[in-house]
Amino acid sequence: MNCLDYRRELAPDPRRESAEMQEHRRGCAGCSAHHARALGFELALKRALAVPVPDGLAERILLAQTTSERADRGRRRRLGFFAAAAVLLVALGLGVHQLQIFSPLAQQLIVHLQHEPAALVTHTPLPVADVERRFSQRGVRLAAPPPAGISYAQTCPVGLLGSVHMVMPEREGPVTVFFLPGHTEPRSDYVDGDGGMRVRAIPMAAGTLALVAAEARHFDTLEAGWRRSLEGSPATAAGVP
Amino acid sequence: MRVSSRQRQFDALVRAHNGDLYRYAYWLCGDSSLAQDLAQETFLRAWRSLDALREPDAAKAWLITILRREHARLYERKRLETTDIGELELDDRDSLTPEQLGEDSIVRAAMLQLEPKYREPLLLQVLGGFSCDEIARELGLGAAAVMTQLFRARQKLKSLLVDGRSEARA
Repeated sequence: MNCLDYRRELAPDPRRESAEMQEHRRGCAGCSAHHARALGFELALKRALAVPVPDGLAERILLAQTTSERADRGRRRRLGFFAAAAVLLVALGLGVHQLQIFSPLAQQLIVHLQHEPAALVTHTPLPVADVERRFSQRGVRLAAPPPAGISYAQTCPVGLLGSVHMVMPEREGPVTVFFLPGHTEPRSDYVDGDGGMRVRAIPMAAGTLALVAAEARHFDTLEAGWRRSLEGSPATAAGVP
Repeated sequence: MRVSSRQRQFDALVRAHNGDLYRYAYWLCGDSSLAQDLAQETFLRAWRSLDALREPDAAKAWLITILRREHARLYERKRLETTDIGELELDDRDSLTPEQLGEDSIVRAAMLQLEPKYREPLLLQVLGGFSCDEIARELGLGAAAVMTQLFRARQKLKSLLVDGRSEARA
């Protein structure tokens, strides 16, 4: 390496020297002096460029960042709240549409029947123990065995209410029986305008018994039978031992 | 209040690099208030994409890249005025002699007269401590072009300093 090469290589970055450059400089007084001058210039340049940093700059930057972050978080939280509220409203809307939970009980029962058509298919009577177990699952203990001929028994939600849903095949067509423990509905008879279904609701045994059928012919008999099963004999119901 | 590890990382980043960022911004725009705004905006952008920073050693180059983009955006929005030499700040360092302070002001004035294409690689080298290859990557240039620019930047600066000293003596 000659002096020209050394100075040409030093020029772009005077702080860095290759081993070859160092070797040349150590043996060359002229390049050694040139190197010293170059470093002196670099030091002066670095000192001049190091303008004072304004006091508290880091703190101001951190303050701006945390303030902006809090604002962003607040915006995100508000957005999240609105999103959750929207989801809830949609879910509620769907629920109302699907379950009609705010409809009159008679209508809810008819809608429920439409969701479980399979309940009406079987005609084989269930063992009494199966029916009693369904009542037991709803926290109800029957005072007497249920009326004979129940072909279907399940615990079902009707809107927001829990029920024991049963089917009793009759000659004129099946009668669906619901018992809704803990819900007292005023006694009423309802005729559905669309399908001609009839619904009778009877307050009974701290709950409501509902009978649903195309024909109301057996309602009185069934009402009396279920009262015996749920409340016991008239004497038992009156508290006579 | 519990501070997240992300927030701790950001605090450390600000405290470690705010001085270098401010100085770099200052020499890009030649204005102290603007340089503070640029440094702040750079760090706010860095916060939003902090997850992109994987290597602590790469932090300075990463921040300078963000700063340069911020400066370019700012430059697109409004044409910056040239700073008057008389507005330049001086170090308040007691240890410096009056001659050194005078010399610093001449160097600073000369730096601001350098064209950006020479000033920027010089800043990256002297303030940032980057090698020619790193500067080439940052500026999107070839290493040979960067070496030429650095060589010319120093020559022009020295020439401006000669003029500045002559004016100071006159």
